[in-house]
Amino acid sequence: MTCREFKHSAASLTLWELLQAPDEQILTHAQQCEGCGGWLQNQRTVAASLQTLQAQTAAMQAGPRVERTLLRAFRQTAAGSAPQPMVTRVSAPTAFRLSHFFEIGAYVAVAAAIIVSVFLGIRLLQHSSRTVPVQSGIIPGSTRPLLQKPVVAAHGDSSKLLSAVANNHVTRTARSRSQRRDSASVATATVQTVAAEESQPDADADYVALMFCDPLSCSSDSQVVRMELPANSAAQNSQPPVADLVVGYDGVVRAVRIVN
Amino acid sequence: MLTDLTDEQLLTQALDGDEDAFTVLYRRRQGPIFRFALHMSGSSHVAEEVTQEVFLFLVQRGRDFDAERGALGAYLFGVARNYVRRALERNYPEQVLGSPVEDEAASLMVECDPTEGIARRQTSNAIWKAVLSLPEHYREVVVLCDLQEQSYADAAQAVGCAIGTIRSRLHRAHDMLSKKLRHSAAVAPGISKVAARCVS
Repeated sequence: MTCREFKHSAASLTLWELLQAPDEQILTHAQQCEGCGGWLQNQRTVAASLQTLQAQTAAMQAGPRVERTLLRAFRQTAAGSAPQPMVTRVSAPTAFRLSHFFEIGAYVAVAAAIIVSVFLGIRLLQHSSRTVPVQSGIIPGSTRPLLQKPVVAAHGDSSKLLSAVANNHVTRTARSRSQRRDSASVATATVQTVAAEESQPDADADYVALMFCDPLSCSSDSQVVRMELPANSAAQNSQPPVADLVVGYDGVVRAVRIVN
Repeated sequence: MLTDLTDEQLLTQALDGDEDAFTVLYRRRQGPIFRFALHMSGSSHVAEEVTQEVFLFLVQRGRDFDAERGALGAYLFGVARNYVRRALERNYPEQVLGSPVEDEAASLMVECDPTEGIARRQTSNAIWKAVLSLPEHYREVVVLCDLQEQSYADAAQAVGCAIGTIRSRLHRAHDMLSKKLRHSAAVAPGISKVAARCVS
């Protein structure tokens, strides 16, 4: 018998069969071959140890509490109702409790994220509604276009334009924005603006619309440019006339006002 | 007599509402199931819980059992195996892999020679620790085939694999156990002596 045949034959036997009296050929080969003999001895040691363990635990069985619980469940099932769940369980392991805690924490975090996103969304909507260009309208009794957010040229007379804007029913936001621009460009005009607004509340009445002003295009940025008219257009006047032109973003003059 | 009936006949009667048949079946099969769970988990508490779960499963879903596919005993071992795995996954750090033989089983032994009794207990503890330290798929074949003395076919049905797989796993598990026992014997020399005495 070769070592390979020995292993094959021994592997086909159970541990208990190896422990008892295996095949004669196996024993003979184990005596002749040191390696296979050692292997057989180790297997026998394992078998003997397992036999000891088996003998020690042979009488162990479940306690009477389990039988009582099962019989109760059996009666409930036989009676047609669902059996009661398990008896008292072992306390939940720490890992399970922690995972449960983190699960709740995840729900809370998601809820908080939803609330924050809704809040931010509302704020964003409010902010965007504030920054939407003001819809221009027609002043009752007037066919002239409204002036939206005029930018005052660097002239001392810009306070009049500001008052014109203010009286043009521009929203508070647009007005404050234009006032901020004014303060940047014409620092000295700020104080005068208030007085000008009070003294000339209808300054925009001097502007003459030069074209039909579409509300959408008129709501975009425009600029007021003061310029001197050509001398030939002011025939015999000693001083050249000065006019304020409201120029749109496209370079087209929307309105004009003769200053002198 | 109910005790003369086979497991399958008892189950049929139990599912028809015969409580006595269920009791006989339970008392016949609970010991092996309990010991299987005990050897797999090392905890008598887990073993009791698994035993209860297995028979509760039988009460609730016993009609799923198909006698043509195998014996009821192997079926119950298969159910127990799943519950043991669940119990081990739940991780009972203070219970699983304890020192199993020191309490109840040891008290059952009647020792003529105290020295031999101590050595035998050392052997039991060493082999149990070695069994519990095996990987699960090796441990279950050792417990089923060596400790529960199930046939390879029944073990294959319980584990859900081929007989050849059972045989190869068992072979490998024995080699691993042998190495572990040799290591234990090097630490506690009494083990090999008792084992040798048992063999002779």
